[in-house]
Amino acid sequence: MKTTLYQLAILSVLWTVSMLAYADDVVVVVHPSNPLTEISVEDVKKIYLGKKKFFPRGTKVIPGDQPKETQSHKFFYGGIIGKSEAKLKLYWPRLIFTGKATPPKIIGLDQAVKEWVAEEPQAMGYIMRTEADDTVKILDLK
Amino acid sequence: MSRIRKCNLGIRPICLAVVSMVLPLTAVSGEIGDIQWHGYLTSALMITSDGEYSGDVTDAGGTKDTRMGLNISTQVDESLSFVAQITGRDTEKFIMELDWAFASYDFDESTILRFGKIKYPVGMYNEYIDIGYTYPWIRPPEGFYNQDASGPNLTRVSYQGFDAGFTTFRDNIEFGFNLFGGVVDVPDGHMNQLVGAKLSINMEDEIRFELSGASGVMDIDNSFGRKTMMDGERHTAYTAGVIADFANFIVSSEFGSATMGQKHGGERPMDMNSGYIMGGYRLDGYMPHITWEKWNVNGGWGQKIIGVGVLKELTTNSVLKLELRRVTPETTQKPTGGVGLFEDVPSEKNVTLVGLAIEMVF
Repeated sequence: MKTTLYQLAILSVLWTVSMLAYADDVVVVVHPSNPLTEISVEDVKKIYLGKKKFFPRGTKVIPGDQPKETQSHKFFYGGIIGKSEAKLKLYWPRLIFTGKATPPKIIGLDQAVKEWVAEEPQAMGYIMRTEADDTVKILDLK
Repeated sequence: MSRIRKCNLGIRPICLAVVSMVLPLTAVSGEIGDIQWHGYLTSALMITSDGEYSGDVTDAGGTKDTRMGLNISTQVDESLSFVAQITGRDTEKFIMELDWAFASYDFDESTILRFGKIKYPVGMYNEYIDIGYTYPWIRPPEGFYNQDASGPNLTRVSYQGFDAGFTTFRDNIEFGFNLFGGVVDVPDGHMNQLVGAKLSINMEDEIRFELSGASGVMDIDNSFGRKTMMDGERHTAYTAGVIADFANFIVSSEFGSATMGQKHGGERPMDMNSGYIMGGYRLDGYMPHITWEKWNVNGGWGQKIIGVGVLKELTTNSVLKLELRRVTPETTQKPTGGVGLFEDVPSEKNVTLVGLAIEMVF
């Protein structure tokens, strides 16, 4: 039993470290006309968890999501949002079925998210860094 | 001699249970234009070793808690949204009825006003009490959440009125304050002039605290024989609760106190206290848990429950629950007959409840 707990603790630490490393591989993007150049990790978390509905000192934000099977989703939620899939499964129903918030709309894979953000001035999305180009603006995370 | 009651299940709950096993493979929430929809389904069976238990077990011995719901929401503009939920319960015809519906207006990042028929916000699980998928028990502790006329009377289904919510963040701690009011239905009438407040502190969704207080004036008929004692009298309830959910551990505890009716000989007929504590641990898709609860009416008909259960994840959006509870009602009878949450007087001091449930969201 003791060994199992140690193993779980070590696995947990390794998983966290790997997710933090992978977090650099995924970027948060907005429409090029958005005046923001940077955003705090805490604000990104709040936006994607339905706790913040507006850009910092700005207009309403529409967060876009990717299917949970994608690498971008795993890196984003594991490394930036910091919530496991197990906790997210319980988190959203509590908000949805009280009418307090709905989860971000699933837009699609990196390419679909990039195209959607390029067309939607209020959009926020995340994609792999290697997929980003000048049709979207990458926000620095602070 | 203990006996397990014969269960009269009926065909609909069984069908729903089967559907709930199949649906996770295919069903998803969705969007129709600007309208988002989500649903839930729960099918529960409780069996008692003795007595007619009003908490979960109907006179037929079974599936009072089979239900299905659909939640729809739409964002009208940047500030205004509408949300509604319809629910069908295992009544004779299983008719879908409006559970709640309200409009929500965001004044800014931290201030929101909701008005309409709103889920009653007292009790940490009450606003999503129909969504069994979100908590470990088959149903949250009845000594706190039961809404029978002679029950704990701490919380209600929904109310018609307003809710003004204020939220602010300090570092990673979320502070919330809600002021609400209106009219709330009780089993034998209404509670008018409802005014309540709730303070909540949320630390990264790992530790949440809530304090609430609500008060109103009762306007009731005599269907439960309490008109003389309660009609026109004030009903006030206070609750405090905490949920800690970090690593794989979950601990949840709430305490509540309610006063109802006019004093006779220095005591009100239905002053009561209630509390519970639950501990659980998640491990490889299973979550065993244990709960102790006590509900006590002054000089009256409370009960104690010790319960153990296990939750098993079936799919990404469905769970199976198994539960065993031992209920020890006080011997003092209620004015309506029965003891504790029993509608009759069980022949045994301790009554065993066994439950099985399948819960899902989609």
